Amino acid sequence: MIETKDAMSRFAEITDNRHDYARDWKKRTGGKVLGYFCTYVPEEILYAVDVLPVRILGSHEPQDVTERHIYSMFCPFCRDCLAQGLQGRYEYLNGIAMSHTCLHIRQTFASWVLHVPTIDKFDYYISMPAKPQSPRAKPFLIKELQAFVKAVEAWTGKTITDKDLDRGIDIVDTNRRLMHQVYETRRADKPPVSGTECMQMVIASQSMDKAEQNVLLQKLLDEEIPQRTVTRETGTRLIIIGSEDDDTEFLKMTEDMGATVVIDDHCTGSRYFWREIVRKEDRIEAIADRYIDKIPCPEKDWEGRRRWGHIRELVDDYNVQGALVIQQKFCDPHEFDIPPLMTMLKEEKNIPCLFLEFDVTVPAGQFRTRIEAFLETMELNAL
Amino acid sequence: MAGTSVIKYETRPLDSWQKCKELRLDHYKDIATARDRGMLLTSGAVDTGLIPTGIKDCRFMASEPYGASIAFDPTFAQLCEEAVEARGFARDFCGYMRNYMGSMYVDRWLFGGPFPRPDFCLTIHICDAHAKWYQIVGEFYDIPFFGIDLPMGHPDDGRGEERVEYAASNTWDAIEWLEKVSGKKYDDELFFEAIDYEVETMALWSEICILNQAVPAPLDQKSMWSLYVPAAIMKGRREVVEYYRTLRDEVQDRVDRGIAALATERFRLLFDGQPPWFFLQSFRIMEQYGAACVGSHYAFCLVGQYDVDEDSVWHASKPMKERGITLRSREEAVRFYAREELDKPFYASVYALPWRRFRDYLGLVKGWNAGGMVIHLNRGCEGLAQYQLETKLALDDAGVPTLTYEGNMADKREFDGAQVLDRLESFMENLGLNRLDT
Repeated sequence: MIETKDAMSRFAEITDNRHDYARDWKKRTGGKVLGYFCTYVPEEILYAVDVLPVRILGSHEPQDVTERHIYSMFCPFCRDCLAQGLQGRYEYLNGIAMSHTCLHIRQTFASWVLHVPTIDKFDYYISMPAKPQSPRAKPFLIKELQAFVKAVEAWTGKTITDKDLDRGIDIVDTNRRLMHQVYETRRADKPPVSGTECMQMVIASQSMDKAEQNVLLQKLLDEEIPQRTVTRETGTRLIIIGSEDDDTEFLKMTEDMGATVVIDDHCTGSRYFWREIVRKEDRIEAIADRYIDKIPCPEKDWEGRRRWGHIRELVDDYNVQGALVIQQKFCDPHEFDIPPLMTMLKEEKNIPCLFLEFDVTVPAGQFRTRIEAFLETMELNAL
Repeated sequence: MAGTSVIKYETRPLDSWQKCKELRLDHYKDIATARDRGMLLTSGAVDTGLIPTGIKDCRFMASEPYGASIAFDPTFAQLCEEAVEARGFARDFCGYMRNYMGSMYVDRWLFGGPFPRPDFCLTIHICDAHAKWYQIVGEFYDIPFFGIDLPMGHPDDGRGEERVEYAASNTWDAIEWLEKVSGKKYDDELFFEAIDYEVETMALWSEICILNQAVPAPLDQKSMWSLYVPAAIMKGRREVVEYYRTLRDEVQDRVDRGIAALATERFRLLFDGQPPWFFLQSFRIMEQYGAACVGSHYAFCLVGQYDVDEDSVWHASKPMKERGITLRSREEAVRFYAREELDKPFYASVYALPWRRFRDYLGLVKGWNAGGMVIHLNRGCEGLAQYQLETKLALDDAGVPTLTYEGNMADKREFDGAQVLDRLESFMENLGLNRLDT
């Protein structure tokens, strides 16, 4: 693949045209594509067998096709995702999979199985524990992943060897490591990459062949970022925390107001790729370790609050000055976490927070006013 | 349109009604005074209630029925809900949870006095809310909290044994944790006895619900909302078994003698979801048209256990003795408990993937001879509202008329009573029923 564009532009292009990318990938490779929901599906196992996993995301367009399947008290993201399937935008998928997270997206998975046929009619639900903090979770997940391996083998007609798993782990872990390195550059006083670019990078990672993205990421780190001259003012350094958020337009609008989103904690951001696999002889056990120990979705963060420690570290490491706390409307797990999280940030870290509730489309004018007021207040306080 | 008065069946109040009320109120008094009497108090989701029975002198407060009780008092409910919202929590949370937590925040107990502070919290985690709920309660009181993870999946994917093992091992850990936080040795014999009573209670309630297949129905859904409560709040208790034996015998007698819940029964409906507790008069609207609401998946299954066969026929489960099961060790007990939980239609067709649900619902319609279903799209409970519209589509495909209305089981501010009544009346008329003069 000859790339003439810089990496970040290519990621933005893939983010905007992810279906075209996937169709083209199938044409080029003859491989299968599996759509998945949430970030607990072990992509390593799919890369081991040359299947392209793509995360099913919404389109941020108003729609009316899901109303008869999932009614409007469920999160807009889960309905937006289903709308993409019902509207035939993922017609190239050979199958779908989900690893248990929340009941909202579980409905999307169920309705997809019922109403959106995939090419190979392959659908799989991994019973990912909701309590990774339990010592019982890992042995259970190992068995679940072993069953998933068998199902994938039966589906693809290929046997998955340790060598295959090593290759799959290598591809995914390299991708995690490289994206982490890109994120690290944002610690600088003048971050060379914006929050918007980073979000596009992560969405591209969830949409494209990671082996291809790794080449681009390496080039980005070795050649493009060092050559960048940062002319824009950093402004207020923000963290964005919350539930699924792939709204690049919102992020761009925020950064156009003189702030920089220097770090995030959400599942189209750092929560997706933050921890690598610690290699073990038993590859499945190693994969299970990673998904048990990954930065948790709030749905999986109990009895203790492991996510808090991670957020505290991010705030310190990235010199964060303010927090945008966002959630998809009706997202219960985040709704539980947000009040104590905002209290923790304010009381322990003296970080002011602005809470915003997201829908399929966001009220740009209103959000602009609120963010401007938030930034101005912080500037006044700083004076 | 006014029609003709048609009294078809003899009807009369339930003799067992008063005892049901007494059991419930005595229980809540018992909870309120437990700590003053030197007992331990724990709190969690309904189905957790069996596990603390092995700790002597430990009382369990089931959270959802308490939230429902508050919902029946809209003024107090609003006070609770606003107290929760004032702390930054969302209005779209579980309605029961907002009522419970609000009662905790304002330190008022619906039945009088302050909110009974638990010594620790123990809950199963079945929907997204439960463990997070008690995380908040635990932090508020600075008390220990333990959650038992019930794994989600496809009930027929061949992975059931692993899920049972996982839930059982979580339960085992919960027992060891209980010993630690209570400072008391866990008495396995008490636990075995409680399981025995619980299984019999569930079998009896299931039997009662199946008796309601009779025409005329001996019970109506509105009464069943109250009748299942002792089984939900007092898990594994002898007096509860005795109550349901009495109730079962009374319902059997009503069936034998053709005594109806609704004297004008000429049409039968089922309900889906929890009711709007502050607006139970909506069930009286159906009755005015001669439509008996004869049950719901929720009322049948919250405290009931069934086998639904391949032909969608519902069979009541049996007590342990009839199943030939004797528990001899804690290991056997936790595994049995886990299997029962995961086999319940309440789990397998509500929380897990819905493939079994459609079969079960069609079985309800057929078995209870229902001509339609009223579906409460309940904004107050995402867990039980899962798959409701897919279920409606499955019922539509099978030619079963359905009515949906949106509401909230616990928050009257999210309920438009006039619109619901209009929709119910239109539904009745669409079913070809006219209002009866009785």
